[in-house]
Amino acid sequence: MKGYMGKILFIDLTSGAYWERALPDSMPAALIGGKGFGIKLLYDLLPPGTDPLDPANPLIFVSGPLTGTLAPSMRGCLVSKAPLNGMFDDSYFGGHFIQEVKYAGYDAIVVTGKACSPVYLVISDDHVEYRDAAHLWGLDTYETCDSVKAELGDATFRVCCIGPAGENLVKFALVDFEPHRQAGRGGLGAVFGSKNLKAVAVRGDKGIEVAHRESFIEAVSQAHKQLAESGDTQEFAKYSSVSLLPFSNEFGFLPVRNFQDGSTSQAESMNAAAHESRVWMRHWACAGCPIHCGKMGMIKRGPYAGAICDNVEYESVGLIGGNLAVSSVEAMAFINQTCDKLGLDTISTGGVVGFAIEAFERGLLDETSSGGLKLSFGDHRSILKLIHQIAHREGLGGLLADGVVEGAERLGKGAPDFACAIQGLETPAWGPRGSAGMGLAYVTGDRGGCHQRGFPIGYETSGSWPKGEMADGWHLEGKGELVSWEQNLLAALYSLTICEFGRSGVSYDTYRSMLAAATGLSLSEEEFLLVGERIWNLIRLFNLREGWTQDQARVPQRFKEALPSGVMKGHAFTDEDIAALLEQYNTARGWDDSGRPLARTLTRLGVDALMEPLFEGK
Amino acid sequence: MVVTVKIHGTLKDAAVHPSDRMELADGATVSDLLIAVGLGSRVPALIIADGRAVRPGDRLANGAQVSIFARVSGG
Amino acid sequence: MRRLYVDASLCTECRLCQLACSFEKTGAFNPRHGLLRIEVRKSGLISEPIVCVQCENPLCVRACVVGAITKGDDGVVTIAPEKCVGCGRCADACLHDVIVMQEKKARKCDLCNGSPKCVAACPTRALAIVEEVSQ
Repeated sequence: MKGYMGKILFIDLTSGAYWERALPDSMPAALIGGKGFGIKLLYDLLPPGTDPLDPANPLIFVSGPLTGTLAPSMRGCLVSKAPLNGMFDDSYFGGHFIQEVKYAGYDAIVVTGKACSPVYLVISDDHVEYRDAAHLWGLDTYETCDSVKAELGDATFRVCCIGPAGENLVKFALVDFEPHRQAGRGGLGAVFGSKNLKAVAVRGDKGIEVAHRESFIEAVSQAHKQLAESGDTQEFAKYSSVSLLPFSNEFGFLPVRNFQDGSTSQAESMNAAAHESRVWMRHWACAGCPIHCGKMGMIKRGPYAGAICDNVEYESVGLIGGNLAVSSVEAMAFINQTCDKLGLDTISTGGVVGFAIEAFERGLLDETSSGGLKLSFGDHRSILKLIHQIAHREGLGGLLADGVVEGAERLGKGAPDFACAIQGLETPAWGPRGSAGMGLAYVTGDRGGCHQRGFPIGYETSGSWPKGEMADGWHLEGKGELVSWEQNLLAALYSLTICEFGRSGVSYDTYRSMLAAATGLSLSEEEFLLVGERIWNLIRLFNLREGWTQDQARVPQRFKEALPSGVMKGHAFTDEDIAALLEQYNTARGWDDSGRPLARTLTRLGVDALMEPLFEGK
Repeated sequence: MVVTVKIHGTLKDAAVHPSDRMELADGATVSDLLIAVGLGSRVPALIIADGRAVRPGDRLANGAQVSIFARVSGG
Repeated sequence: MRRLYVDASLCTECRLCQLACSFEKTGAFNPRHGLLRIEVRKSGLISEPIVCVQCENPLCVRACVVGAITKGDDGVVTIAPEKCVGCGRCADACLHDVIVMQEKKARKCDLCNGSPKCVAACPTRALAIVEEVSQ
């Protein structure tokens, strides 16, 4: 089938062996690619109950059928069981790496086992090479990437790697995908580290073909036109995701000082115009993307002057800027880059550091326990020192490197009340206070409390969604239907696998047209949503198998305290709210009241057929 | 009557007469305000007046605080 | 004389130009098979499309031992594939390293008969086709 490369590469680091398998014929129509292929592979290959840092936990790099073509659908997906919370984890990354995996001839690459000493993999021309990485161990992600390319003597290789955080098994360590993109959440960098895998380099000389040339070009032109004409998209193009800051701040969704507040008077010094005038120099784009939301820039003033860096995304502005009260765009950019170099997820890091600063202010931590560090909101110097400690599990890093939930539990003395995480994943820069729908999205997210698995805020604030009116963030009605619908839609879109900034302009019809023209797979709107629903159910079955229970679906005490400011001032969650939302949600999904898919739902979705293992774990 | 206005992002770049304080006729609507600031054909994603989402046809009150946003979906 | 014009300050590294070129010339997508390349410098601050500029004194023409490369009246330098023996001397000599060896033949930019696909694909107008007026 065109669009796909038709092969999956398996690499076992323990034995050193590698082999190819043909992509099973049944997979494209049932699961499309990306997220869908990821869950199927993980379900089959992970022995139930495996610890995420055990060699048997597979690392799965997946592409979609549109990846690497002219279509604006350029993200890749890294799938594994997350060290941070033990759940299914699909972490998306843009850039130019996953395209190279397809050019090398593969729809997916699966890495299992553990090397006996640090290695990096070189994949090219149907050939896998193991190279010693002892001399790279300890280098940051930028240094690693440059060194690998220099050693290979070919700058056109695409490289992904970990920094010290992944080497030290920090549970929110990321995998860096050069240039400028990361698989951030869940600690997949630690999975790399547990395998003694420092980096993977790929280059490919094959070309991706499409089934219907003319209609593909036409569908892509339509997509490009939609992007150019969408005001939403053009906002991203000019001001990147930071363009969301004024909206978030006005409503009270922004994390401020460890989620103590939802808005800040400093918002204007942190907004897109500030970044643009002080740091940004030119636009940057992922492979094949006309939106170019990325920005390359240079810090020109202050203690970090001279650093060349890419832009601070909205989430990082929220969790580093807002949450840690760092209002200088220069300091934010430098902290962001430091996290990227050390290999730390900025969202989790902002949550963990925010927690630590509050603990310090409350006297639960002091200079003795912090090794002399005096922590306070806004003090970027001590924040940077703490971040280095975390990456190396030194000083306070020892307490914090396993995530905010674990850290708070160990600290005790009421600390869990202000550890802001849901289902074990540090909370992103959106509420949830102020949005009943977001609360539901977080407690039902497939990889934990993630903001990219259903984003009801836009519909709640504008009062409508594609099926009619939508109640605002104060009200619970309709949220079960809304959140489950969007989770299904995003699951299908993440199989292509799109960047959701593209979704701001490209219509769902056009995405389906591109898929049909590229592969011959013609899915109606309903069938497309069904694929998403099917994927979502498979993931819930996986999580249940791995020990997830619905009592994880709750919010910490901090989110039960009234939001102090913003349009949604006063909003807070109660246990009754969560219970009511979950009931609506489980009913909408055809799940029982413990969150388990009912047999009739699985039959309707054809999940039974998918339970037949297509791949064998070792 | 007078309303205070905050216009965000590329809408601010597009507005011909962006101003913090707009003088409007009594009973003016949101639509009138959009025309007055010169947003013309650009359709904002969301308009908030005194903390509540409003539509083009809604009337504005004297002293209303209006925020005009280009984007409201996540990332 | 027609040639491509580049304003690298507008280039975003999206590689839509390379994707469009490879699709046009090979029927499949791989930026490596596009007949222009992107050079990234200064720790990623700069990305510059490197294109065939249809040289006034084309070294590739001089390097070819079988006369397969010619500069036309419109200024475009073209390789005749039926004459090319795949020795690679033109690629060795090329000023900008934009001659690509593919399936034992040398390939270079021919401006797509006056409607370059790369220019059409570029979302920021970093690439343009210009007509040079000679003195």
